[in-house]
Amino acid sequence: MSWAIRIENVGKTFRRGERGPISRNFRESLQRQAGKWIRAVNPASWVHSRNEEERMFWALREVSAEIAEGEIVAIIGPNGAGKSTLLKILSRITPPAAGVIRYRGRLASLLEVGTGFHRELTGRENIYLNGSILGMTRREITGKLDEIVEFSGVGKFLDTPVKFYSSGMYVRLAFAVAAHLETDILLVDEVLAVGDAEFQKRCTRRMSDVAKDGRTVLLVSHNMGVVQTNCARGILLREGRIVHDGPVQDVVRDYLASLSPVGAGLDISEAHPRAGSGAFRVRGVRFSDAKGDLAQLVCGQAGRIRLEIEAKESALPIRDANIALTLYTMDGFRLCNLWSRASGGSFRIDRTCVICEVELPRVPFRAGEYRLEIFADGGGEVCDWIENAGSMEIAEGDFYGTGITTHSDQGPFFCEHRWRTIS
Amino acid sequence: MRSSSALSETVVSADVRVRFLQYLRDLWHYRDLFRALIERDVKVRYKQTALGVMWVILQPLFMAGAFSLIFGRVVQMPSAGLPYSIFYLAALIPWTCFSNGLSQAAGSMEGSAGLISKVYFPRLIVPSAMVLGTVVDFAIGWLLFNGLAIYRGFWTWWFIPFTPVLLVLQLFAAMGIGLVLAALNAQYRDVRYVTPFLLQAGMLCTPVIYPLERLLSTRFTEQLGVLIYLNPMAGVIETYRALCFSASYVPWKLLAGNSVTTAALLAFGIWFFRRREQAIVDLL
Repeated sequence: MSWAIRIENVGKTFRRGERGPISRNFRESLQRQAGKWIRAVNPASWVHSRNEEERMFWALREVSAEIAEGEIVAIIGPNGAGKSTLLKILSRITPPAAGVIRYRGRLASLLEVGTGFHRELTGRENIYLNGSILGMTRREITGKLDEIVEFSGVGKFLDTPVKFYSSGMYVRLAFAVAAHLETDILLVDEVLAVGDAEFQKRCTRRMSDVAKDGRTVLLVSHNMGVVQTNCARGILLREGRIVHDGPVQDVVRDYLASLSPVGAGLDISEAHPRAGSGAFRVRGVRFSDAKGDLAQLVCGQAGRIRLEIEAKESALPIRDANIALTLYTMDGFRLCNLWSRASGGSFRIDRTCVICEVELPRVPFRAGEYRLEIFADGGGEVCDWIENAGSMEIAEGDFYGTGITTHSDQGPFFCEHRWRTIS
Repeated sequence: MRSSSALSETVVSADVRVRFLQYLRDLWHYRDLFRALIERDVKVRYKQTALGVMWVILQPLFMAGAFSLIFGRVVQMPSAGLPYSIFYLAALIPWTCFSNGLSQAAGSMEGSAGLISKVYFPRLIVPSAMVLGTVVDFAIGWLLFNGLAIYRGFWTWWFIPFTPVLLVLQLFAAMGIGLVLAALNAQYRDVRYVTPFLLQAGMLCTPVIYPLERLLSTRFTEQLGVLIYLNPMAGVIETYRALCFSASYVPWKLLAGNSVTTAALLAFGIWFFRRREQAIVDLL
């Protein structure tokens, strides 16, 4: 497999406190220049010029990577790690301060949806304008116009100025143009996080189609779900350097582990609205994988959910206490109910502080974000009920142990099963 | 799967600046963007104005009216034997387009910051498209002028071959200066304040209000008259006025001198802009 992009020792500096390396005001820059001349003839002040250098910081430093043709690579990392700067250098928007980048073929970048859209122009005019900005030729756009319109679903309003569009229509049209870019290399920054769920699904599908065509894609995203379903390889940036480059699962795990120190979870001591007598309340929820080194449930692996419970002294003891944890998908579908009474785990509370734990031998839920509802009752009355206790993220894992992960539109959970031939 | 051997390789680095040939190839590749940007500017310019494209005509028409009244009737400025309406329109239509193109180009990098910081394309396209966008305004104004010249009997066939040549001269001059100002404006916002001032001074140094011969006939300008060769718009305007009678009045020497100046301005503008082009995005 030949390479599509080769990044060698790329670095980028910025002056601290300013975006640009040069000041903007003519007078200021004269002063600075004068200052430089004075320092140049005065050895005593040479120390200061070192200060000048200290004020420069490296947004990217010694970044090297080779990306093969047809690869889809995710670039992840915390804010300010240099992800967007790297994409901007790759797409030639801003020059590197050091290093060399080579790439083969046509390259286009999608750092934002609808770059250059003009409110006063009609949908059709904007398709041409935006398409040209993204590097398409007029003929290409004309050839794809029907497809673009179809994909965006703005058909009737094609000749209406986009300022009269709803924000949803606007975004759909903008993405539709971008989705029909035909380049050898595509750089994408976060733009998938737009539109409603249905449209997002279409966008994700489009992404994998692009990949099947053998095109190279670099994707910057904070959405680990999108990253894991679309990419095979991940590059983790931290403070301008590559700290991990490998299979996306490992890199995502590394990233998530660094984000949430072991033991972090949902703090719901102040959750509102909540109902119930308050005889006892759930204060916090923590998730961990089997080994306890990841503060998350991992699909296909054993996991634990730990609940911190606080009871009123006056209400003690509470007999026959039960808790139900209900999981919802982010589009509101009730996925399942972990209910202590149903699974034979009713308990008794006779201290003000209790910690109880739910164990899942094998987490069946697909990787992604879920909403949690908590319902607790004890001594025959509802004690605590929080409909929205926050969201939890389940990490990607290989449920069947075959290395095959199905697409997210194949349902929200996995079921253990076996196939065999009978005759 | 496409074969990788067919794909051209691009090198991006700190020290290797894009070679001129590659730059030209890039420009050619983005020719449709060029067109799209010009279309956008032209379409958007008079949207949601009650009088629309009428403004293209009204602007120089009002100016010509005011000039005729004040400099013509009141000051009794000599007008090279032309009626004041023709004398001033022949100067104001090209000058307005030149000055609009130049000032729009000067502010264009700042105005397109959103675009420049999100997508790569040869940045030269932005100010150049601004200048070329004024051609539409010029064409409309020029039709008006020609109509008036025919009506008043001051039209010769020579306008037809000369106009495109003079138009190119005018556009290149605006582009040359506009590119320098656009690049500077990205770094020093002072340019925003300097440009209108520069254009005003420019108009006073150009034979817009007065005929060129008047400028050259004073004792003060006897020694400095040579400087007029450096003003690219002087030749353009003087030639239009001369053409109202016949091609034999065309100031060839001035026109030749101005062409050299314009070519130099354009070359310098492109060189200056290209030197700063890459860094501009970090300054905006």
